[in-house]
Amino acid sequence: MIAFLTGVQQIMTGELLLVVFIGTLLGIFVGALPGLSGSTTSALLLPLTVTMNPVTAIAFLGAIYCAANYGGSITAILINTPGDPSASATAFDGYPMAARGEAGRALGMSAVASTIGGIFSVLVLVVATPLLSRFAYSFGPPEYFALAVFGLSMLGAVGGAGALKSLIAGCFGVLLACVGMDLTTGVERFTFGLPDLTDGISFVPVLTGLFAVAELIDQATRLDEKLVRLPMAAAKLPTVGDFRKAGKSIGIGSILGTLIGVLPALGATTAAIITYNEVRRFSRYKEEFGKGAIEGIAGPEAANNSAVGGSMVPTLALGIPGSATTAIILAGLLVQGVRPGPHLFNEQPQFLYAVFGSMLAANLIFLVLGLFLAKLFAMITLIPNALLWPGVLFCSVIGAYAPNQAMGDVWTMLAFGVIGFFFRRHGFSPAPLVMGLVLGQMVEESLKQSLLIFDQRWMGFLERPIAVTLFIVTLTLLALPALARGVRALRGRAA
Amino acid sequence: MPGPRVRWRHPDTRAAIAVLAVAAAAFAITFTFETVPQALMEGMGPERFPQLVIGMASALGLLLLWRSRTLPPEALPAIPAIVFATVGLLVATILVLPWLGVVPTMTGAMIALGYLWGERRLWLLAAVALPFAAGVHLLFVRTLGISLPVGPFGFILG
Repeated sequence: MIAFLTGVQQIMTGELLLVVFIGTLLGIFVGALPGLSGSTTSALLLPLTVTMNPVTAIAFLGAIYCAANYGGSITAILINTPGDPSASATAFDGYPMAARGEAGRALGMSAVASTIGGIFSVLVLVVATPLLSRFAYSFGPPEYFALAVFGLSMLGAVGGAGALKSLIAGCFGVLLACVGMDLTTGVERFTFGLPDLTDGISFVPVLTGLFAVAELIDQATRLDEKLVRLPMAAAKLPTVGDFRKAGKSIGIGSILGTLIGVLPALGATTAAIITYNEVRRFSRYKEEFGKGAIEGIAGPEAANNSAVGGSMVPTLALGIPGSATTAIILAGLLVQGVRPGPHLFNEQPQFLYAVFGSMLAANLIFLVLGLFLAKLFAMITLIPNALLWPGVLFCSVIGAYAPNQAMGDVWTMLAFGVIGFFFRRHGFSPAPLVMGLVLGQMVEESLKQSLLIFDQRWMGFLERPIAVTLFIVTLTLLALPALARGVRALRGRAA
Repeated sequence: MPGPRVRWRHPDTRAAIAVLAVAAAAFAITFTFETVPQALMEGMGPERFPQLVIGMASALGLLLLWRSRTLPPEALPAIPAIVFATVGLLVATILVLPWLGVVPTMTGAMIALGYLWGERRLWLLAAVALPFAAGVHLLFVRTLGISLPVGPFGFILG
């Protein structure tokens, strides 16, 4: 721990701190804008990071990721519309509090709970990542294949039609990763004779299209919606009484958020919603929930920010993204030629110092900014769509064009924007597609290498205990929702 | 006599059919991949992994189709005309961009999109778009050294 903190201290130069400050400011700003989430902004700004060195890039994206979750609570509290999906549970009690004139108190608790959750998860990240990475250092291709399959199968852990759709989207993401030249045989796949596709589909235009352009098209369907912003005074620091009441919720949120964040594919939104339900279950003031309970803000806000640190654990230690935003951050690192995984700790420890440092700094910075400038950030919600989204369009086009300076990438962005729009319309989330795209190459390579090791015997996987364990966990998690439904049906019949 | 009209039961049915259609098309394409001589091939062929993934997607698509059969009929809200107009504007912007240059095209696109979305104060749209375009040009071209298509008006930007 001390070695890590010393490393963090060494790497956090004035320049890097400035980048983190800008990232945090930007994160709160976009987090507060309904429709522009942390993942959309990370996708939009990915091209900008291509020009940075990898350490600065990850520090910048890490800061945005941390701050956007907090920023989302501002709009959740003031206009009952979460700026970031992870703040949706915050609106349940935040808006009623604002409606009875306690917006400043709600925003203050949101900033403090987010900071506590965020710092807790960074501490877990500092301890857990090296441990997990040391454990994974002995992993061979079969274990990596099992791990990647586990990561993708977690897309289906939510159950129901949503799970099926996420798994389908994940499969199509893996299929997209197959586009281009097959590395073992040199055969071109799904390139349709287009030279631009020989090296595969670029991440940046796909991400920009799926997140930013699809959201822009979706916004066009909601132009008639009128948002009512409640008035507010400045954010207020929580009182001792507030802490007494909400301390347990912050603890539950921090622990649950970190644990849920560590699981691949389950991000801050799931963490916040599960925490809200758990906090209500364990509260002595259950009747206040939904009517403006301070615990209903503290728990989910601590959870969504602690999920950020949690989701960084598998991303850095194993190269398996823990959420949509970490999938984008991972894509950004891959674009820079850096693949996170166990070796990263020995070969390039400065990455980890940058992540730890930037996330710690971002949490402290948004606490200060949140408490002093919440009123200013709240004004962001007044920017009309007709002025905001044309700017997003501009950034999207530049972002898609800049990395390879190819018009083909801009068309790819538009195509994925339209695909993303229809995805959302039919209840498919773009995040699993991105997870599949990012993990696709790893899945294929590790499978091919495993089969070479096993002399093309699929049963060879059964000789690797870790891989077998991961396959069993995967199958159990996939079967769990169906089993739970079966048990409920049996109970219903018995009753 | 015309047969009864096909009535979609649930949007998931359409989604599942679209998934199966895309999977079928992708599967057909895998047969067009170049074949690698057996003597040179080691392990899986280039088509095998995509076929596995497509098989998985198809199975999931069939499951979605099977699940959707019991769901009550439901119509998705119609896509408003403004969506088509917005996508049309995006297509036109990308078509014009290489000829006119990034800064003039995107400035025009920002104003046009704002107008299309209901903002009638052109001076306001211009007041936002022009500094925004200048800022982007300064950041990407001057500071980060990324070259963007300049078009015939590039000389104005220096």
